[in-house]
Amino acid sequence: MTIKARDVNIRLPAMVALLGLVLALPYLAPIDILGVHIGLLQLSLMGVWVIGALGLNIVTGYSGQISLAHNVFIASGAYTAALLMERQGVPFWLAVFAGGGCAAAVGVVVGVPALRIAGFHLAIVTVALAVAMTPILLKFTDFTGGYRGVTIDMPAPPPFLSFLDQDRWLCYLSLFAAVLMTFLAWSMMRSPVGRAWIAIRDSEVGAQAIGINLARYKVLAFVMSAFYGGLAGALYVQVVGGVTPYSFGMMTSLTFLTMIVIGGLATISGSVLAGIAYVLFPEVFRTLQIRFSDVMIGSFSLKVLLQDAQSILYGGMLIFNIILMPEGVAGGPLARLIRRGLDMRLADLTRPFRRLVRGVHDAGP
Amino acid sequence: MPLLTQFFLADSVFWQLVISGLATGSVYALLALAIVLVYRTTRVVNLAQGEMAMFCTFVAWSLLHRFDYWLVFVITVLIGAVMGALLERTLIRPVEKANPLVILVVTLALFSVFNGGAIFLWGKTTGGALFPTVVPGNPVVKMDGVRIGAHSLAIMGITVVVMALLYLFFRYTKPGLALRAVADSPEASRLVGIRVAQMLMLGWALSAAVGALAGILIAPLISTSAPLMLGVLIFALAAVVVGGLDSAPGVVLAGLMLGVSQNLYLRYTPGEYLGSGTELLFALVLILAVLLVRPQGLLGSRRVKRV
Repeated sequence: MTIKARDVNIRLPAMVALLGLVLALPYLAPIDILGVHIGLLQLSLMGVWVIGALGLNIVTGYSGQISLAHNVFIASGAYTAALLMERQGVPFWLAVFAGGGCAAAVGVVVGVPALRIAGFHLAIVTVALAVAMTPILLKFTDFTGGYRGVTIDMPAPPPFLSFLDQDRWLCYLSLFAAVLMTFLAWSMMRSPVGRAWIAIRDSEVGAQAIGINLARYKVLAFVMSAFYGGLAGALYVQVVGGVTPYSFGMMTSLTFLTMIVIGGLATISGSVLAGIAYVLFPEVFRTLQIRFSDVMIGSFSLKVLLQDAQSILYGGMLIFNIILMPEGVAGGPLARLIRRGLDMRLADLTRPFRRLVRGVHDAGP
Repeated sequence: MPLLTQFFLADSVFWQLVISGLATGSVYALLALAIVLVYRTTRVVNLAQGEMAMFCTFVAWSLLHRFDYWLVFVITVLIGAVMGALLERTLIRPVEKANPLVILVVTLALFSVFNGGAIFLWGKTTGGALFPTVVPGNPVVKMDGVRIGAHSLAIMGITVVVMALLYLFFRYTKPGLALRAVADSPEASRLVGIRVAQMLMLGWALSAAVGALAGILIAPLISTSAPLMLGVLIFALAAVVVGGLDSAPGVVLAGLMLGVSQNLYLRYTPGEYLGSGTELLFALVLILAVLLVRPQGLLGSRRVKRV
């Protein structure tokens, strides 16, 4: 039996390649591209924030409810995991799931009022929550550790992976978590749940008319978003080794929103790009800052712009994006490329060669 | 004011809190009014309103080295107006017809730009230096044992004047009438010959000018640093929700109430669990409560959604 080229779907090879890439990446690090440093920590953080970006895209991109409280979800996951590990000695994997679960509970608290509140009002409620979080963490010092936050001992690799060193193990942990959660989100969006969210976003009335329970799915979107956020926060603690009240402010939510809009709202690949960009942009800025540290714009130094005033650049990118490329990077050209790539069969890849061969034959005597 | 302490069973501290609360409440009311002005003209909640005000305050801060306080006051308000008009023309106009959430995201982008812009131009803090008060030196005025800073009284006075001017503008001038017409129905206004686009710019200009004013007035009471207006913005948003998104008198009333209740909340709740540090949570709970019980706010009009 021969396997014909047109029967071989490229999806499976693509997955194997992805798996290979994930396995190889921690050993390829540190990667330096044009002076931009991507070490193990950066790779781990990319994995973490891909999960975070997926979470925000679920509620804002797919179900169309604006949420500026993503930093609250991330922080509740991070604090839950850190406190459980530091005070109770809970194993890390349990703490990570507890972090996701606790954030999901916060998601219910935000999601239930969100049923009656939409649009601008939801933005107002979530922005108030986002801003109120840091002072509250600072207030209950006994519980939260005050401005110093909570530090943990990073988890050691389990016995069967003991050949890995600490940093590589954490990197694998976050990368595999990211792959798993991306796949989960991808299948969720192709399940009735994801379709229901999209239907609600496009028309609430229409969604109700075809029998979608608005209340259930809207709350579920917040809960799922919060779970992803909390999981990301809990993994962040494992990778970085702690969390402080200043780790996640309102600007975190805003930057995530910027990244998913640039990546592409309601796209999985856009969320993945968003998570990577969330780590990559500050690194790029840092590189530029080192290279152009003495450049002045008038009497202002470029260094300040690239170091403290990054939000001006993010805001600029966001405006540029909305006006010129409203679909985001993954919504437009990239989506077509990926979709075509995944649906391509081996036959498509070999077609040019076969044509060439046939051409030679046809040209023969 | 002997009546105050005589007829109510409260001490002078209570009245001190009420009056200083009315002063901060005036600033909340001004910023909330700025948000309502934009909402009524372009149907968008401008989440960057606080940051725009903060930016103008920093501009004023720079100008103060060269000019007299009142000159700076006027220049800053004018700069605010020009800034508002330009923003409407360049950034809001292109997305005017888009989904409201897209416009909201544009205002969030503005938030980032002004936040970062202030840090870029003026650094993270101004080194603890305080913004000058309206009355130089901020002398304490004593009335019946109630001690009040002159600046608080000045804030209230200026707020009253500004509100009166706005009222007269909307009630008795042609542009004011046109602006109200545009807020009610842009299509009908266009048909009767009102230049709607210009009116939208005017609405944004007025709003940003009022915001700049709020920034200058509140700056002496809080430290001059980049997150200057964030807390004020949350309280202004709370005032907007409590008063009703489209009701100017409603948000002014709510702003004043919030200023006073914030002070009383900080003073009279147990500091162990509530009180200082949780005032934003207090605002959040208030916002949620009003939205769940009376979504249109105290004086707002109920929006009937057409299906």
